[in-house]
Amino acid sequence: MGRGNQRLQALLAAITALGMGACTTVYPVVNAPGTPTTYQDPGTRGPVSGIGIEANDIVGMTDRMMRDMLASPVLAGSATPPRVIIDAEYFANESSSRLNKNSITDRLRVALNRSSQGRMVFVGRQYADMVDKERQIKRQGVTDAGTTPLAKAQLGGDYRLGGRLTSLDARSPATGQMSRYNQIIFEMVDLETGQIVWSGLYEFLKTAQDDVIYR
Amino acid sequence: MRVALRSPCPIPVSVVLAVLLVTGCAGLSVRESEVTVRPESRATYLADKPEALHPHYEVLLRQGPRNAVLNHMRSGLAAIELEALPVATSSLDEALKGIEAIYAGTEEAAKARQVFTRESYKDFKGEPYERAMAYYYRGLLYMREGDYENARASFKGGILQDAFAEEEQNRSDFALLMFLEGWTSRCLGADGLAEESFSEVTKLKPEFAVPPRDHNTLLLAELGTAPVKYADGPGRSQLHYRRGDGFNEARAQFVVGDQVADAFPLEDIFWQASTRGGRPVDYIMAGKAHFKETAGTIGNVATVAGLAILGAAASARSSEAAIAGGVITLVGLIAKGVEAASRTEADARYWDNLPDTVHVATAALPDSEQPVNALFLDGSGTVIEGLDKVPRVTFAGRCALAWARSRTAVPADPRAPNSVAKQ
Repeated sequence: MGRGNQRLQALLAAITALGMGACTTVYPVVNAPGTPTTYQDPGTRGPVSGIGIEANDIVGMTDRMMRDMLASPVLAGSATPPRVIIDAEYFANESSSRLNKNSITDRLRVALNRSSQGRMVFVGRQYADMVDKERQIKRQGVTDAGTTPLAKAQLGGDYRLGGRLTSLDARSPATGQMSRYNQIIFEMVDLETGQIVWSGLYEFLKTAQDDVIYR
Repeated sequence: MRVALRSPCPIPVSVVLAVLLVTGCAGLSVRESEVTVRPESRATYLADKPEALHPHYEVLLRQGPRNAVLNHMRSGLAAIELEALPVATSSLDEALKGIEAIYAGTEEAAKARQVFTRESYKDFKGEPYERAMAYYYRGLLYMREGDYENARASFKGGILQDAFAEEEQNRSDFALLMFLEGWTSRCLGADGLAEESFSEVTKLKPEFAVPPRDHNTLLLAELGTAPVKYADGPGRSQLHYRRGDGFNEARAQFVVGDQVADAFPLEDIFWQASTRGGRPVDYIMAGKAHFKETAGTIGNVATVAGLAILGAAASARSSEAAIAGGVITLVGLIAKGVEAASRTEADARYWDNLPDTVHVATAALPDSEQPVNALFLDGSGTVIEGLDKVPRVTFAGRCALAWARSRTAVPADPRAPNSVAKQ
């Protein structure tokens, strides 16, 4: 029994060690100390992404639209720089992505304003109320006239941005794969005639598939 | 341990130890356990939350990311009822963030597929009907802000979640969300898009009357209690549903001035939950159940055989037979331990403050404060005393919204059903 007992003890010890090892490695804590704040390039895909419109899409589309608009002779090649209004007022979201449209139009306006170097004049229609109040108190004598000359009126716009976001969703029940085709159109409209003087289109298709336990 | 192994009969003690170790693997992981929250962190987090929801939001902190989406869903909905709209908005945004995140190649998801791990180890994202309802409530909040574009995007997002049904006729049949997509398009003045959506609704619900063009107010009534998920079948590996109980309201009416509008039962949440059919993960769960069953069978056979050999060895005073019997018994007990450690239970956590059905009416109201009463009726058409509500009518842009529930949205238990992992 002695040698047999030793073998049995060794076997049990091995099983016990395996069991203990298994138990200690079954549930690791993922990244227990956490991740300190890091800055990421918004033009690249972030660590968390889905099939909706994300930061890198906004950066990509506004950069491309900006370059395209600066190449337009009507918008950026006139002897007299045209006055343009770029805001989200006439930019419709008909897609299935929830988003703040201002994040697109604001970036486009700022990037254009910085890059056009006087080839376009930007009218801040969203600030019209603010400007109007200041004009009133200047003219009422509540304040002085400031250092720039008084204007007869606020600037009227020559062109204004319009556009639309649309999407087409698809999902495969067999594979759990889902995709979203996003189409974003940008158009500059002549505010006297309604003529569309410039158009730009940005489109992309995103596809993703969740782990099977979520399908 | 050495003393036990040197005893005249070493097997039982050692075997028990080995089996305990194997079954011990079925213990709770850190992410399945509730953590203690430091009082100062709790106080800071709860500072802007309605007092009635402090226990619920504390549970959210304690249960961590595994149940975060679920806890945000139920607390966000309760916050809507309590008119704590910024809190509700924040919670539902968090829930949608979790729903929209793609879990591909994540360690937690992979672990949840393993045989020794419960399905509920995974982060909760909800079944399609729960995800769709999260989009529904977020859409209602956008409507109250007058942001009809994002409201419509939300409802569309919910419709996409409903595209998973196994049977084709049950895919994308969430009439409520289609109607709301149409309603928000109308609020935006996009009548063409609105008509497209309404025509989808009438295909699904031919008896539904499209709201007249002059109607500007949407009246929503939510009746009853949430569908109940439960695990059943071999090893409780199958996910089943039953209709919520404890209510007898079947219809809703809205009283505006001297006008009474019958609300149309546009969505049956239990039906949405229960008609999805099989989930792809069901195959994995069935495999786990089969593994557990096989391990149990091996365990039973080996244990009985091993003990019989041990008995015979004792009679014959044969040490070789005793060792053989002991090893076979050990194998049997380990197999039983493996059976016990196999986690085959389907994930039955669920959003328990959802309604059973959603009923819809519309009205033409002037852009001013207008008292609206919501009445709830039983199946025979008798008004149920004590359930009537006076919902707030919120005007925003071209449209207004009133929302009433027959049952409170504030869950009595701060923990969602089956959200606490058990050993």
